[in-house]
Amino acid sequence: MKKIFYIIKREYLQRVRSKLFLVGTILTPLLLVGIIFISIKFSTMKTSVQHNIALIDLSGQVAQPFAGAFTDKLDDGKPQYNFQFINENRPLEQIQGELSKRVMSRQLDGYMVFSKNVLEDGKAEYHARNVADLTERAIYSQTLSNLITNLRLRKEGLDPAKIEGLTRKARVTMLKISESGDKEERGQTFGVSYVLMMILYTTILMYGITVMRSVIEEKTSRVVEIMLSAVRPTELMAGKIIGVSLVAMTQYLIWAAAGTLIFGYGLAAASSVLPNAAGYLPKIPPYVFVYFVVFFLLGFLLYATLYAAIGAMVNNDQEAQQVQMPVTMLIVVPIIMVGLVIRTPDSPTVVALSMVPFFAPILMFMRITIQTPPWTQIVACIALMLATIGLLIWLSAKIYRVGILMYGKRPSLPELMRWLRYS
Amino acid sequence: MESSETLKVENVSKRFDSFTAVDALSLQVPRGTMYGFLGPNGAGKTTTIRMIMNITIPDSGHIEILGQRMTEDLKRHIGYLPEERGLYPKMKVGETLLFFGEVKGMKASEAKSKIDYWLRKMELVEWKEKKVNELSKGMQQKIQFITTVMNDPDLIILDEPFSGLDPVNADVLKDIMLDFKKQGRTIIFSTHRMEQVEKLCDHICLINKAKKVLDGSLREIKRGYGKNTVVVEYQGDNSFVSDGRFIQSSNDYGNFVELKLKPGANPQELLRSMVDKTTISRFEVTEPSLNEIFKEIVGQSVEQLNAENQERHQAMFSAAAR
Repeated sequence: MKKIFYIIKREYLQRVRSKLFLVGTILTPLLLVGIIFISIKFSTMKTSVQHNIALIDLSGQVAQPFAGAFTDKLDDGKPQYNFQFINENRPLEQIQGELSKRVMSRQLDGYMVFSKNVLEDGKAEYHARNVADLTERAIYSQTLSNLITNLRLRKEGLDPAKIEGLTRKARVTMLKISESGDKEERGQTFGVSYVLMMILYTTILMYGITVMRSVIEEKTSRVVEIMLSAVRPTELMAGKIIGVSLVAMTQYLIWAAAGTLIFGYGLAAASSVLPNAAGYLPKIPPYVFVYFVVFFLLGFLLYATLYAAIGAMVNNDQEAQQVQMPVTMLIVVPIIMVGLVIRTPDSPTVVALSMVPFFAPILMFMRITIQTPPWTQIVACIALMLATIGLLIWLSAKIYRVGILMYGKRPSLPELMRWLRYS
Repeated sequence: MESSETLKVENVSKRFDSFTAVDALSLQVPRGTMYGFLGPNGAGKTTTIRMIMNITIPDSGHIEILGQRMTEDLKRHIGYLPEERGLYPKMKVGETLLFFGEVKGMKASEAKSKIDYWLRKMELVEWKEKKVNELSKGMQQKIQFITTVMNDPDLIILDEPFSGLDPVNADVLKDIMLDFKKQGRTIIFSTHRMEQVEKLCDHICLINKAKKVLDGSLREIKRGYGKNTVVVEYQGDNSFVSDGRFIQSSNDYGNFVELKLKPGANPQELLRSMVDKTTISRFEVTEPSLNEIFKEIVGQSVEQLNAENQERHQAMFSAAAR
């Protein structure tokens, strides 16, 4: 058994020391920190460009309060919006013609025309060079809407402040009842679960393929039979799979540490804007992470054994591309079904699908984070997975044993069946 | 000592579908011998060796090594250099050797001193910290050989050890093999080249088409055929080669001819008939070469069989490519 330790050690060290691992592990979180840092910087940065806008008020009632609603200041203290009021007794077309020229010569960013009966029909036009800015459109519409609503209410003799109090919207808070009795907020937590599920999917696929590549490498470099002069084929396969799983765990640990740091930084940054930022954070119960690791290991073992067998069957990466397709599909299918799980986490279809060992790593994990299923189902699911893994290891080891010494033609399915008898 | 045989193979067979790779093969390798395992390509040498190493499992039969039934644990006492061989290309030479030493059950300190010893012997010391893929093919072969013998195995099995080696390195390898023999270790090596066997081996096993053709001590085998062969190096007239009075068959090797005499033919008379027309630089009455023995038993020479198998291989590959 000591031999297997050296195989694990070699596989682990070779991978952890490789540039690919360095790039994948160290650079990914750094990139994430960078993106978060920059986006926070951008969102708190004020634009330094002043907007020059002319207002033509045909109703004579809204221009002043409209302009008064814009109070944002630029970094240098000047107001962000600079309004000019146009009150001339000339035909509208003439005024608009002149303003359009000023817009084109960039003296103005745009001009707004409030209709004569703006209080009744709410009509206004904004003319500018650039009218594609959706936020700007929303700001103008919202401000004008609020303004004329208030004016209409006043006209009817009602107090706008009182109306606002009376028409305040209701808010439904989502609380979850779980078997352990705690209630947690689910909305933000779900986002994190979803991200965890995607990491689960990506890493199972990525490290499964890593195992396959590693087997192919040993075949193409012809080192495999020299290895077999000292160890059993099963030891070689097991050592490889365990070694790669440890690489994945190392990557998770680094990411978890980096994630905690990023989170801390994000929280500190958010607290400066939102005093109650911590309250908005998703509360993820620790068992989610335990299940994450459990389902990663089970899923990885299941797929890694399949990928190891595929690696033994083929001669090079191109051949592997074709053969691995059905297996890769098995991992992708549950991703398509995630929507179904979210809507009806305990429907018979979802329960049945989540029990299929090939789908369980994604679907059962998703069910656990959305609406924890009865423990009997979780235990049954894990037991089924373990049994499948046992069977697959037995089968793959036989294919592996024959395949790693076969060069040349890729086996057909009937040939593969015969391989099982050779060993 | 449990047994005078290092290796005993009894009635071992292996089939792959309709193809019989090894058919009821039995052989004994006496302790401390240099044992040549030979036959044309595709005769079943590699499959037999893989079965000895417990890498391929025989369908039937029995294999005993160092007096015990073959187990995984016994692999520690065997140094095996496969025909299909290579190394991890991105590992350093020193790292690679340490890894193989450890996998073969050596302590790290012991492995390190052996690594230094062998790298010095193979003149590869300055390559220790280099990656394997920076080495030439010949150097890589030497490293592979070190992985085979670094843990001082009692039994060394080399599958086509000379293939791909340049003459200088082949000589280095040959000397080391002879050293091992002097130390009393048993060496089995397979080859499809008869002349290597004749120079090195004391025991042989000839196989063809999955079956044993002949085995035993090389000296005794040859003695069995008697001194019915004449080797001649000459210049000038070569009509003696087809002289029906003396010669049954001949084989031209370029530098010399090997002539098989008819039963009862007198080599002295042959020599007398030659001297007038031909300049003779060597005339040796001897036992037949292994090549001739093989040809006599099988009906075809090893070269012919190799060429046939080559064609079969190519046909198979082109079928696969289609």
